[in-house]
This record gives sequence, structure tokens and C-alpha cells, in this order.
Amino acid sequence: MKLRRQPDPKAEVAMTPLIDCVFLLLVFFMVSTTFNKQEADISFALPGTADQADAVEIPDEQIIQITENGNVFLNDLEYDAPTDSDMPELVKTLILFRQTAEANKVPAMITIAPEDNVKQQRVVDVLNACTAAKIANVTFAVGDDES
Amino acid sequence: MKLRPPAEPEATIDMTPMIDCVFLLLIFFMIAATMSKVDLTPEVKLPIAPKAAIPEDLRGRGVVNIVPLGTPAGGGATSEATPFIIAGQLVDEPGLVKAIADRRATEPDLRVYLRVDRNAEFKIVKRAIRACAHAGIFDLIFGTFQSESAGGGP
Repeated sequence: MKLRRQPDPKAEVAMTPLIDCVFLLLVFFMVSTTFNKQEADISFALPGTADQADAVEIPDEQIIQITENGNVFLNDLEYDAPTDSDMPELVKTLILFRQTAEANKVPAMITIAPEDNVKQQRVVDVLNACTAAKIANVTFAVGDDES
Repeated sequence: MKLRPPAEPEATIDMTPMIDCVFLLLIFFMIAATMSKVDLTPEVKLPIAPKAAIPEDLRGRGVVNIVPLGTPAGGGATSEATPFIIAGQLVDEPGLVKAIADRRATEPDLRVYLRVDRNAEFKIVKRAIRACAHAGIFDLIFGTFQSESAGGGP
């Protein structure tokens, strides 16, 4: 008497649970990447990295001051309203400044000097205006005094 | 004369290309999720800068988080003495200088990524910038969002 079972004609692996599982993981990772809002960069450099062996090119430097109330001053002239975060007037002036510096073949440089109580958003507004005017050399006036 | 073709014995859809595709997507999103994991303190509400650039290379970054004074974080609250947050820990100014200098010793190309809350005051940021200068880092980045509403979050 033969007791051995006949081999199945089709011995297939069940794919359905695997696909279910993979879909679930896919949806999870897709959703979790969308939840993380992507952060963007605004970079600046601190002065002090100039190699003294090189010929020193004196850059065309302008100072932008930001007061506590958010007023922005360039060469003692006020630009844009404190609530205006796009700063069209400042951008226009900075583009002119960059073009003048380029015509004179010197690097255009901006130093931002915010007062102590200025909010970061206002500082970033000014940095944003510098980026809009394509000025790459931006630095901050940070005294070495312990306040 | 019968012209109708005989019915197919098994009319199944071929799943293989779909599974290949799904696996590929799965691996892509898994890697994307792992790569975007940096020291992101959720308390920090970044400022908006529409002209900011989304970076392609996130390597070699030391993250310093700055929130307005008095914000609860790292088992306490930020204060004048300890205003900085690194890896969830409150740090004072000498601690920040030491942390950056230590990391710079192993990574000479270190860039410091300052995640500053939009309502934080500049005097704290100024201290962080000064600490970076003391630690020998001159290449700094402010974290921003390009717009208020893009992606999730409040």
C-alpha cells in the first residue's frame, strides 16, 4: 500500500501576505518622509580666515544695522517697513551695490549688525535679501566683549 | 465552423514587475528617511527665508539648536547660563566651545548648522557665533524653511 502523498503539481510560495506587508511599509515610509518638512540653508562666514600670504584685496563693505523694532538701516538710511519680510527696497539697493562692486572688481561684502533684542526672523529676512541680491560674502558684527 | 479560441485555463496577472517596483520604492523611502535624521529639536520653529537653498550634502554638520530663553528642553529650561541645545542636552557657552572644538578635532571640515528659533533673540545667537569663532569654525549656516506651509507640521 502506497502511503506517500502525491507531490503537488504547483508548489508556489504565497506572495499575497508579503505584498501586503511591503505595501504597508512603503506607505509608512512615504508618509513619514512627507511629515518632516525640509529645511533649507542660509549660510554666512565669519571673518578671520584670510591667508595673510596672499595679496589682500580690500573689499567693498557695507554695514546693515537692525534695530530692536525691526527697522533696517543701510548707511543710516532706513529701508522697508519693519513688518515687510520681503524687503524689496533693500534688495534693489543691494543689487546696485553688488553691480558697482563687480564693476570695480572688488568683492561685495555685507556685515550685519543686529541689536541684542532683534528676533532671529528679522536677521534671516536681511540674510534672505542678501541672498536675493546674490551677495555671497555676508558676515556678522560680533564684538568680543562679554555682554 | 467554430472560430472562437479556447478559453485560457488560468488568466492570472503577472505580479513580478509590480513587486520589483514596490521594493525599489520601499528601499528609496527607507534610505530617505534614514538620511534626513539629524539632531532636530522639535521645539525649534525655524524662520522663513524664501531664497534659502535646500542642501544636497548634509554630511559634516554639527547641529546647535537655539530656542527663546525659558523654553522647556532637555530636562530643564533654557536660561541665560545654558541657552544652547546639543543632542537634547542643555549646554553653556564654554561647553559649546568644547563640544565644537572636540568635533572639529575629528572632522576638520566641520560646518556648524545653527537651528535658531524665529523668536530667539540675537544676543544668544551672537554668543553661539562667538563660541564657533573661538572653536575655530568660520563656516556657519542658519536653518530656515522656504515657506510656511510646505510639507507637514504646524
